[in-house]
Amino acid sequence: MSVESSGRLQAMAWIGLLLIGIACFVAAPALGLSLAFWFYLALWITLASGLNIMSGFTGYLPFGYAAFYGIGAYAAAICVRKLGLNIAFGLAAAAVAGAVLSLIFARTLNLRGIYFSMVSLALAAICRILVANLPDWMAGGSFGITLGVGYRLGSYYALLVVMVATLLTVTWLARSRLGMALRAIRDDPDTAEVMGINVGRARLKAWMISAVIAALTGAIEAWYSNVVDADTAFDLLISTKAIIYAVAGGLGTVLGPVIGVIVMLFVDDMIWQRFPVLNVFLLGLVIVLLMMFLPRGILGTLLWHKPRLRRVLF
Amino acid sequence: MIGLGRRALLATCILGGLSSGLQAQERQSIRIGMTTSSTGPFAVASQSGERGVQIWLDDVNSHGGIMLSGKKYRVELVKRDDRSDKQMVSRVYDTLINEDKVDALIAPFSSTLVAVAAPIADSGNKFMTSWAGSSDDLFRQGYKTIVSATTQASQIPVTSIDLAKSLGVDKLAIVFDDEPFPASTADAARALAEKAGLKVVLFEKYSKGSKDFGVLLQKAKAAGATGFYSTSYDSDLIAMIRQMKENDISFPFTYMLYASLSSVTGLGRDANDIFSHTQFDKTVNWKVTDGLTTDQFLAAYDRLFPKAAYPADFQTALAYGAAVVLQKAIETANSLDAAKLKAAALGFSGKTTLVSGQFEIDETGFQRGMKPIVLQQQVGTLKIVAPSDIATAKPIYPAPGWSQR
Repeated sequence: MSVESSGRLQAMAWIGLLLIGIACFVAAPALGLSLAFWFYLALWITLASGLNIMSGFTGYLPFGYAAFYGIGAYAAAICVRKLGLNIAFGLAAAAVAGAVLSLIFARTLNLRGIYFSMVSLALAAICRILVANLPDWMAGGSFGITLGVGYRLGSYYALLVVMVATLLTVTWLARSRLGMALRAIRDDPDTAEVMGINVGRARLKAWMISAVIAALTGAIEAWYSNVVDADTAFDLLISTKAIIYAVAGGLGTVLGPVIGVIVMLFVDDMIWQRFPVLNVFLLGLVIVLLMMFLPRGILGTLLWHKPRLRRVLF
Repeated sequence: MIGLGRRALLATCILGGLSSGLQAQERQSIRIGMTTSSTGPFAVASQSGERGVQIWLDDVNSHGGIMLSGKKYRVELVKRDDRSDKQMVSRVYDTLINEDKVDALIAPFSSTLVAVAAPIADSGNKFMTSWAGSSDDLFRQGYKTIVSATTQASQIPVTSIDLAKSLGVDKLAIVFDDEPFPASTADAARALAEKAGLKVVLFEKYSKGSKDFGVLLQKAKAAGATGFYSTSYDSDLIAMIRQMKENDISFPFTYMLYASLSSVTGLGRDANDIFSHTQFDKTVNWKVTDGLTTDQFLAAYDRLFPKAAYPADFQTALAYGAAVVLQKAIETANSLDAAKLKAAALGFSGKTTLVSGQFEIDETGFQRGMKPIVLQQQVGTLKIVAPSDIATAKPIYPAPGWSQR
């Protein structure tokens, strides 16, 4: 099979899957399915895919990814509740806040490996403390901010838009020159530089895209859940879960995080329903076993063993 | 003739179908949904509250259940795990309403989780009683189906500030942990103190996780405080008391909200003369109009949970009270309709006393009736010192210095 026809097959398969997925998500509320389950499924697909841009494509593991999520949540909440603006302005503010924060943190991209991860984690903690110490009239103090927007269905469809946009962005990235540059940086940043890739600029672009995705997700989640407070908005579990889901599916692939999220959430839901007492322990066990036996993730391992599947899956 | 036969057959089939359908839909029980936290920061408190609901469940079912439309229905508690997680609460309450088809709800523990559950209950048109949503803000959102059966944050310092004023405290130092409940209670204490004419000479928060309070204590002393007021959690209070002793810092009036917990009273003499808060105590016997009395409640707790790691506390009592309110609302309204249940709750508001105190709400569901109780550890035993109508001892004021304890 030629490269072009292989690429067309891949594109068709992906578009087909995406359309089926979108149809399922759109139809879920009308079919009376659990809005909360489908909302958080979309949320984690979006977050894991956003993290994949930095981690899978660029090789940076941001343990402090929750900082962007939290700042987006607060930006939206402050706009809506404190400034009396429409939620659409809140979402726009969240995106801007995420971009600005990513620029402020951009210097950390000069670090590599575990050092970047540790500094990222520390910066997220600093963000949380700073927000928690904002005046009560601005950020609601320790009780946080209750948005009072209502129309949860609106937030669900807003998140679907962001999710689809994120997946299309990741797809574009996988096929673009920027994506190739990021992978080169991931594999060997020094060689990439020698080859003429502007390492700093490429990394920054990926960083900002990833940050905006997380910020928008945080803002929409605040809209959906109606409340935002410093502890839950900047919870490090947000970063941890995004990493686990992305790794479980396969970092560096487009479909990997999607598969990881779907599998892990379904497994989690099943365990939670059937084992009310042991569910957390069992979930931890599943994650450990997954990491031990499928270190490349589900899709990553599949593609490793069956490279021909790259024609369709990527 | 053939047509008549077919019509008769059709009618029989329809009637038969309807009949079996009706039988299938005939109510078997009243389903109440709630979540508890198996893990996470709210686990201990949540499980303490769950035991209170279990006491109610055992009691109500031992009497045949809840009366509805002239018949008693057993209560089925549909309980799920929220893992102290906001996202799980959202999913779970959605599931409880739309899949489990519960008839009413009991809220989760903590204001943050109640804030997530409340709009879901409201939009799902399910009545929900809250036993741990102390945030005042919860009741400013316009929810129509939520009522509180716990003292709100702004009301918690009422009794203690009144007591401080009556004892002659004139300068108050307020110190608290930067977390939702301690911070909001401290804010309320400051507002009430200033309204009562006390001067707040220090109002300072510290970061979660801090254990060195030496500087804070020195500042409070240097500011001339005659009263020290802390709304922090018990683990911080233990460190504070120890550091007070190490630095020989004491105040005529020391109030520590969580100092009634066994972890703090276990300090022995060092915890003497410290005032604290509770909403339930084994020596308090409100004139209960609904549900178990204090003695009956404690006996039920011992019977149902003989091996429990913790004794019954105010969280147990509050959750029990919330369940009793739910039962009373159903029986009064003779309906499971959320609006009717809310109306019923407003109807018996101010006329109902539970083991956790008087149930009195306003139109928003905000709890106004439950009086906070102030305790003081006196010679190793906790005594109720306020409100005066239930006091079992006079307050010791001023507290002696460390060398005289």
